[in-house]
Amino acid sequence: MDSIKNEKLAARDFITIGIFAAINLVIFFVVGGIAGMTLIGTVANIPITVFFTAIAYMLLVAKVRKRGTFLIMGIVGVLPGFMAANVIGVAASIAGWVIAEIVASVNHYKSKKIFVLTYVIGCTLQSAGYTLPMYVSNAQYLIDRQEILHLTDEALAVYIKMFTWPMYFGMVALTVVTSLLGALVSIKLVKKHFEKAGVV
Amino acid sequence: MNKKSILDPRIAAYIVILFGAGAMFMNKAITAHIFCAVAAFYLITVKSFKTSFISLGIYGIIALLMANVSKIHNTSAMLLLVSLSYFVQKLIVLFMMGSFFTHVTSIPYVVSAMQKIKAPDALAVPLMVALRFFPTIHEDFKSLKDSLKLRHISIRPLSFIIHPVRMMEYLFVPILMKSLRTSDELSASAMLRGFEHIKEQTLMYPLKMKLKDYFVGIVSTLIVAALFYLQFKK
Repeated sequence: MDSIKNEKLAARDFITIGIFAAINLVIFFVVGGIAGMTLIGTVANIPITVFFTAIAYMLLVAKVRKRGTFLIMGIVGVLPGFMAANVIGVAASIAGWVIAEIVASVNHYKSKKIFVLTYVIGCTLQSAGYTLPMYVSNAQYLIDRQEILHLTDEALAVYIKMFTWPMYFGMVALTVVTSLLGALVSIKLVKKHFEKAGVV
Repeated sequence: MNKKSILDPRIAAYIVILFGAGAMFMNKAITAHIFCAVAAFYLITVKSFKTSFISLGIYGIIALLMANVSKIHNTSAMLLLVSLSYFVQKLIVLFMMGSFFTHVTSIPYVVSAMQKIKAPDALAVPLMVALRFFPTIHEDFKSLKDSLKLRHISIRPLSFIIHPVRMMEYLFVPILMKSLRTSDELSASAMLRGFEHIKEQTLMYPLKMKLKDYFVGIVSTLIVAALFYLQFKK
């Protein structure tokens, strides 16, 4: 009975999540901003940032092993998307974090392997959902400007086929790799710097 | 002293979402240009001249590039350029609206708005803490930068690519370590103040919609509606 009661998030946990969410957002914006200065970094912005944000997630779940931690952290992390008015992207990302949260909750936040899996699922679905509206609209953008750009039908077809969906799925696949690497490295760093120091 | 809110944060958020969502659909050159001009005008009204002109400048360069893109004979290169220009053009409007939001309102008013709309604690508390924690992280980062400089460790953007794990250890671990302590102290302080047991909290920054808020909200809606008509008319 006690273990079920302890799994519920209390006010102090919300404060801890808030602090880690702030760090997560800072890492996201700083790394995302630096990556955005380059050509590849603009397109692969989310896959790059999730590698670095992993440490905030892994340390948080090492400290607050309760249901809802991943979900709240994920939601706060994608909320700035509203500033960019990416409503569909934010909703899809939240749905992704709900699925990830279910995975962690089923395991009762016990296993580190599940933390890694949850993070990978959350980040991958976030990457897929968040960038989807941009890619969908991208093709329409070119169709609307076909005349101005003097594009032939063949060139347009090549573009839609080659540069939109393959790039989208490529970025989602890259997110799986970077989030997995980020989570694994972070688990090691948490063990090296925090667990051995006895702070989590 | 916190700055005053020029617009009600609810209206400011509505405008930002409206414009940001609208920007995604404005694919015709003329509607996209007007949209960017309107966003720049909104920034000028809040005296954010620098951001407004820089954004307009970048947008102008990209528009010019797009107008001459047909001169590039390599189809793949041209399409890649168009694709990147597309992302940048959309992101500039979003960036301008984000900047507009930070100029017309401030964090205490956003927090008040969240309390007023009765956002659930699970979301409101972490968000409130996160918003107020940014200046602390900034201060911590400044101290960290000084200590790294003393140890002759440079933090350049390139280091994130060359030594990503080392950068995590140098930059994020110390900040996270300090944040762990801060979170414990903040939680203890909040518990002592009876944070968990207050049902109805007092709003330090009371919100009331004024005529100006309604006016700006309606005008923005009409502008976006007109641009949608221009975009989708046959």
